[in-house]
Amino acid sequence: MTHITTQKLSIGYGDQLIFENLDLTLIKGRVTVFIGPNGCGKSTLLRGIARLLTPHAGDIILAGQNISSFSSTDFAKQFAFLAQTPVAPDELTIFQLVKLGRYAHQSFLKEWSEEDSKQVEKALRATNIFDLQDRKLNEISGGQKQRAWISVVLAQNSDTIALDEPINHLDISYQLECLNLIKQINKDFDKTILLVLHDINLAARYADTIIALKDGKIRAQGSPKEILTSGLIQDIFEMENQIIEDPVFKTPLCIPIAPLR
Amino acid sequence: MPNSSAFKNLRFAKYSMQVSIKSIYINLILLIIMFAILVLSIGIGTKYISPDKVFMAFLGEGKRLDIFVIHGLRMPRGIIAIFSGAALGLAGLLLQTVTKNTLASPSAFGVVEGASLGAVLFLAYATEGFVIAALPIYLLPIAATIGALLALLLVLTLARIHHGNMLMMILYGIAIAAMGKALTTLFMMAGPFYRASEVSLWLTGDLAKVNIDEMWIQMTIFVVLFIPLIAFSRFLDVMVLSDDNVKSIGVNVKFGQYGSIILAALFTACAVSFAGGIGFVGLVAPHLARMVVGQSIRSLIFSSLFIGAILVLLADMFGRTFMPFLFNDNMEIPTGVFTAIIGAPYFFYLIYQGGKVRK
Repeated sequence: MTHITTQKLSIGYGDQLIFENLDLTLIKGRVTVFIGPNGCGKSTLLRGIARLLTPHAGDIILAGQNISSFSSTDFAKQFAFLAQTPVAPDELTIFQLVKLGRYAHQSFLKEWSEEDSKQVEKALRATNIFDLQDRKLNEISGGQKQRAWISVVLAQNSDTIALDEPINHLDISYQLECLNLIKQINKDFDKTILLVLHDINLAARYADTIIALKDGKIRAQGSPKEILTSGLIQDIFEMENQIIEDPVFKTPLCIPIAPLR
Repeated sequence: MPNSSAFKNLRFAKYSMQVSIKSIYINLILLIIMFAILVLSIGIGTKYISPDKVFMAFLGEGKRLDIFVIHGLRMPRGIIAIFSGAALGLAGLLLQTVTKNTLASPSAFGVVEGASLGAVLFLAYATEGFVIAALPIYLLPIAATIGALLALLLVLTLARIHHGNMLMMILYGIAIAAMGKALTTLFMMAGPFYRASEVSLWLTGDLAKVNIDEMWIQMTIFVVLFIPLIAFSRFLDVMVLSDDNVKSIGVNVKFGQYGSIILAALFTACAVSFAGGIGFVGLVAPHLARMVVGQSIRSLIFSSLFIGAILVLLADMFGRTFMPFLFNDNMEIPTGVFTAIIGAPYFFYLIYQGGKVRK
């Protein structure tokens, strides 16, 4: 089922357009991963869909409605975004941080409801930090901190969650932990997930759909097995490579050989 | 098994999220200190009245002369000191929170100067018998508000060119403040001569000429401004996150920012219109408040308010007693002089610290 579409979307920073007349369709309930070289616009596109950038032209449609017509709170109830380097004061506890995810569901007169309690608890349990909720952010590990932030977007209780390079600053085992968690959220809570990842092989393992971008254009879109060929990788990353089957996960595995630029 | 104590925390999240018990106590203590200084400050003057008699006079008892001096003269001055300090403390808190800049304050952004310029233009040119129009004096707060808003919007618009770089914000603020001061002097000199000395005294912050009507007007304005402030506290609370996070949890950032900025200008004008150009209280009060109650915005609102009030009360009290005490001279030092003596070095210290983003 179609969930998010962009229609003739032109978007970029300032006067500089990165995408022009982009048409894109994203399917509900899937994990969609954007890959591409530095500067290909994958974060720009995600930020545009998350309403953090205003399009120069064209429309972005979420669940049948143009995203620019949502109010701030209504949009946040449908779409949650986790920035690449989220910032919060160190002295905040995990609980205090996660409850901020409930902002869109609260109002001046309705500050805290049973539903807020329930959703925060659910988010803390899903990310397995329920027992750590009274710890301050400077008292926990990088992996726990990332889970706390994922918990924030979960507490927001939106159908769609977008994460911009969520595993960038984590070591390899925390990367797996984080992606497993995201996959589990996708399955257990039936959330549509949009991800920007740098690692092609992790993208191949976790994505239902991969969107390969270069120079503001979609070069390929489809399941990892369908689209990840050495030709495509050579095209977008300018790198000699070979694709084999991952012996454990049976997904495409890219062996980088030599850069071509 | 769920961790039972953690669960309890969640069940009572309704209460624990608001203000901690500790900060309620701290705020109560600040309130008591403020009240004690008020009583002391009312007692001190040409005729000393002991605290117990001041207290009696509040209740309408004691000698008639005492009651007259206190109700008619000294109490309005004390109360106006309180509300001016409180308003400046809140304006500073709003600006520091919304710009995420610990150097922000009504004086650093030229807001006090803007308000002063508005007020001086009004005083020198638009009050009864003067050049442009003859408007009643109670419209002065509106003139001050317009001046404050213009200065603030100018600084923030200019700073946007540099993507809200906070040092640029301060530099623009200093430039706007300097321009505001120069224009104020110019209009003062060019205006009716016999008003100049009066206006000049008013500019450094002066509580000597306030009366009980002004006290009531200012209290009303303050209370009216306090209601939207409380409504905005939810927004101010999440400003500790980065801009992207704030937007993505569903905050209408523009609305919140402009609302807070307008509110800060209104609070500044509410102080400046009645007490003159008192500087630095808006900078220092939120800092001291953060030291005693931490980051929770609801606690900070009350502690910035009380600390701002205490600072101006003290400055006014010293201003009245300093010269008579040391030099046996009856001259009063304007309130703004003392707040600047404390505030300016603190500003230096903060700049020296590198103007770190509040963490």
